[in-house]
Amino acid sequence: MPKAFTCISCTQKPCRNTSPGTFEICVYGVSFFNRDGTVETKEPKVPLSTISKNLRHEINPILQTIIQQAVKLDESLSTREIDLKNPLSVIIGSTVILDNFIQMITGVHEFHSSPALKSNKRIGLKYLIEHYFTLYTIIQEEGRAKNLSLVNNISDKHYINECSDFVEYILAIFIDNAWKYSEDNSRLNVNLKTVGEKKPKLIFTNVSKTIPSNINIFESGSKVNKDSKGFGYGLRWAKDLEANYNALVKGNDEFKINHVQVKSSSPGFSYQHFELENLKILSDEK
Amino acid sequence: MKNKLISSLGKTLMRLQPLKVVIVDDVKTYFNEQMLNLAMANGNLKIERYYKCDQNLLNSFANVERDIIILDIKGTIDKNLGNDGFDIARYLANNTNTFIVITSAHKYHLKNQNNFGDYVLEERLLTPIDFVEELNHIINLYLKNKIGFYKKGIYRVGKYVYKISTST
Repeated sequence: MPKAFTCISCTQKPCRNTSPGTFEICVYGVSFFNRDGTVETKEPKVPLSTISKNLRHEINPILQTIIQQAVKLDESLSTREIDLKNPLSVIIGSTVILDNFIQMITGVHEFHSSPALKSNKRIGLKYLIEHYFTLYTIIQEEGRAKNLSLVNNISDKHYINECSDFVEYILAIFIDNAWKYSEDNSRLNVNLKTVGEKKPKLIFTNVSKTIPSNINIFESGSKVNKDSKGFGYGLRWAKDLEANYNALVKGNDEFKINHVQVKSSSPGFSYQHFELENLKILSDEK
Repeated sequence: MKNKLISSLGKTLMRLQPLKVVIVDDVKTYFNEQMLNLAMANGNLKIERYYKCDQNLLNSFANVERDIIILDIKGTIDKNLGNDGFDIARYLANNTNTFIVITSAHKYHLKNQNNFGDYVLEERLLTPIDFVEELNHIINLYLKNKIGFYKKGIYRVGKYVYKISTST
């Protein structure tokens, strides 16, 4: 006689209908084993938030160990300047990408940032864009764009100094997206456009396959191509970061990320404009 | 030649009154020996590295004030002292003038906490060169925001002289 199943998240109890000797994960994410008719839950449902909270903390020291060992071979290495011709620098860059990815997984479920503690470090905008473009060049995959070039029209004088970590993540998402989805041999253009008295708009423009109008690319798990490898969370995280930025940066008009698609002359392809409105970008220009 | 002399003068002045930096982090790969050696190479910093804070160490922070402390939040504090590094930060903020830098490998640990820190060091993946750059930034904030302009006078003059020598 099977034991009474006490998993509180389930009323259907599909595990009871499995064959003895079955090890499965049910539709509610609970692992179970059917031992001669008795269902044993092997682990409680582990929320993604629990996993994500610990993920960076567990893996980050390992990434730092990789960096530590690489630096023993080349003391000039830096996470802030990646030289694609130096294998050790590529290793360093790869750890930074991994760390970004873990932050995204963590952040998608519950972004961890305290209202009292935000990064107000000054970082040059032009440098940031070039840095992440170089960084994500490291990933070489069949599905990614080949020969994507960057046209960075941002002046040296522009910088950010509030929630700079949020901005870094957002820029990394759009640049990685460009690498993932752009047409081969195309360009990623980055511009700062000012219209009248309004704050400048930071715009990322690339060319990719046209996105069907019924797809909300900022929705969690949203994928234009269902067979693609990605999870479809990157742009959703960008929106979370947008909301957190607005909560933390005071005295600023609402920061918004918009997407505008404009058909290009190539059939089946469109220009994708990702517009960052009211991002607090400062300038040394008078 | 002139720049070299000015640079040497600046460094000598900074060495006369080196800044005292203490780091408490339980993971040895962070703030490792190579990073600290590079940071101390010019002799204008004295860095102490600890892996856990107990009562003796905490007393020492209060009795012999350091200029800057870099505190990891998790796993660095004896249970009888408190829950985490924020307890140390609170104590130091209330009893010393030490510039408090808090850090954690996971931002979750920085969530919803009262701010007893002067700076958040959130970039955890650092090469020695990155660490020196970050530390210079922290030192500038310390000199500018934490202490009166008349304090650490010799160090400030040395730093200014050194800066001139590298910019001309």
